[in-house]
Amino acid sequence: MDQELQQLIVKAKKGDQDSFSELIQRYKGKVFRHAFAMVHDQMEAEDITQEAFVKAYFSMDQLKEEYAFSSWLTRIVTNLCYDRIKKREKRPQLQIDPEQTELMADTHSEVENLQLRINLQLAMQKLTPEHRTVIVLRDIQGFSYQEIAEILEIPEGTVKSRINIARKELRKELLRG
Amino acid sequence: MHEEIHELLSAYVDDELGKKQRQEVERHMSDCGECREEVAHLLELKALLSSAYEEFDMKNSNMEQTVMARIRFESTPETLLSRGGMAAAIAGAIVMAAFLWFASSVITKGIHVGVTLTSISFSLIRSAFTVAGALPNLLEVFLVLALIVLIASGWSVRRLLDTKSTG
Repeated sequence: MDQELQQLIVKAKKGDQDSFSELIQRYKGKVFRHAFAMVHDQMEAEDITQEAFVKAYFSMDQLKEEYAFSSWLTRIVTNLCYDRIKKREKRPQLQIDPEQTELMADTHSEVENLQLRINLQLAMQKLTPEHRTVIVLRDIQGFSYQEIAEILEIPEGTVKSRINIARKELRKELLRG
Repeated sequence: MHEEIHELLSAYVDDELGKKQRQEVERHMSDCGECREEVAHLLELKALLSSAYEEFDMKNSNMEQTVMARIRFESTPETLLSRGGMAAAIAGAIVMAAFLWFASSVITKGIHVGVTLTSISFSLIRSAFTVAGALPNLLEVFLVLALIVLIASGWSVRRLLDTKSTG
């Protein structure tokens, strides 16, 4: 962790709002993508992002070590995503913004690539929240097995087998789709 | 052996195996085309996953301002007070519920004791009437006794008056 980031976290812990705003600036993309990969809904993911930062601000005194800020924030996002998924009555539909699609796909190969990504997102929705979470934490957020174990408060061996099973399920869904 | 190694491939592509296991996997893969193919698929999946979401971004470009405005709102004395008020109301409701629960148990016990005592009193009165009803010529006996008491009282008064006048 760089010195500047550590200073921001220390100041934010003391209630400095400008420092916390700077932390939002740094982490909002990561938090949003995590939430989006879990719920696959633009508005809901933005709502979770906002909720996560508000919750983090009012719980900063519970953060023991500054270096653990990223894992700590990820745990908050993970729990919020679980809560949202539990509250849902029916399975979410994947929402693709047409404007964003146009921006993302200019050429034929890009359209093919985009279709592949959409298929992957649809396959992700078929996973259980637990399997989706480990995939998000490992392949989208880039956490190590040890960090994932700490975030989810489960043994590292469980993380290893859960990722293994989740990838098998994901490939099965992709082949089926 | 192949199955055991196959289960390690996911952790292998994540570089999460110890040195010994990694060497075992690599030794096995040098002879096993199926495992090499599996590793290639896993790496492809990982690459796809990391790119699948990276272009998605928030529509709200003012996330910092939105969050900070909400934080400031939730930090105002009014909000904190209303939160405190809410907490006090919840605490009050809990205390009231506990009191009612306790009081209701006391009142219930009191009513129970009262009902029991009344029931005993009625039973005693009923028993007295039953006993009295069972005795023959009770009224006559009662009148004779009353007459005896009356005569004895009159005699005592007269004797008292005589003693006073002679004394």
